[in-house]
Amino acid sequence: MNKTILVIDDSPFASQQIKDIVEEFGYEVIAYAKNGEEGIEKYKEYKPHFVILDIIMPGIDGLETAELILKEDPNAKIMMLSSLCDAGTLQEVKSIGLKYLIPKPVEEDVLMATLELLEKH
Amino acid sequence: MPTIKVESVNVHRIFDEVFTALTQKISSIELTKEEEVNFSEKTHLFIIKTKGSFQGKIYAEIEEGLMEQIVSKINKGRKMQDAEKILFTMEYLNIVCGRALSEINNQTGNRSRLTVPHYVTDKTSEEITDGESEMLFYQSTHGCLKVTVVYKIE
Repeated sequence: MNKTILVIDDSPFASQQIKDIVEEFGYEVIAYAKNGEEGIEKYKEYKPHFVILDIIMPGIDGLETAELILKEDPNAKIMMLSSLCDAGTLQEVKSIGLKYLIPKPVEEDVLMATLELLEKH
Repeated sequence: MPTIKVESVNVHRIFDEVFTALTQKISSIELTKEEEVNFSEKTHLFIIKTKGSFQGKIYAEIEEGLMEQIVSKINKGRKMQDAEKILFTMEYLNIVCGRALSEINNQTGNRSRLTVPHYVTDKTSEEITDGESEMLFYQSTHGCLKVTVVYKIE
């Protein structure tokens, strides 16, 4: 059975790009959400193995969304994604207990290596 | 060891490097920097706001031909509705401006954030706001791009 991924990103470009990459490696994108509120609902509904979550979105941002998902499921495996990838943003990601932030545009090797790391934790 | 902060940030150079390098990387389109450009076809205007220590607005005005070519390349030639083309362009600008802002944040040691890009339907209603400003003009085989960065660093 394929490992499943929930993609939470308001950009159809990013969502398509992630799908194109991960499905080549045997993962299944089980659901998409365009904002944090929708993402939380879909997390509860689909219980994916992994979540790939954009930081900058309309409504609640990705960091707040991640905190709410972790409150629902402290074992949720979440990878953050952003066009803003400076030291301060990484620090914010770590401050909510997450380890991984990958930059946009998404690169196949970075995404897949990070998924593997996430799987091990 | 104390952090060394760069007191003056070359905003023009940062945005120029990021626009040319990332446009090439994402869409294989080469942008050539010019002193000025004259738009000869319909243009689309997008605005990205920044907040935090680098506070301002980034105005990106792009000719339709160039916009269509960028989104076609990044969507691997798949057919798109006009509304989707706008969304893809917004993501392209989010990526480029986010990278520029990351570099500014890293150099200044300060924190700034982007908002979701906004597509302007009524260009006549937009006025460039006050502040320091940098203008970048680009030509390509598919059309022109003008980027105006208006900002304050606090």
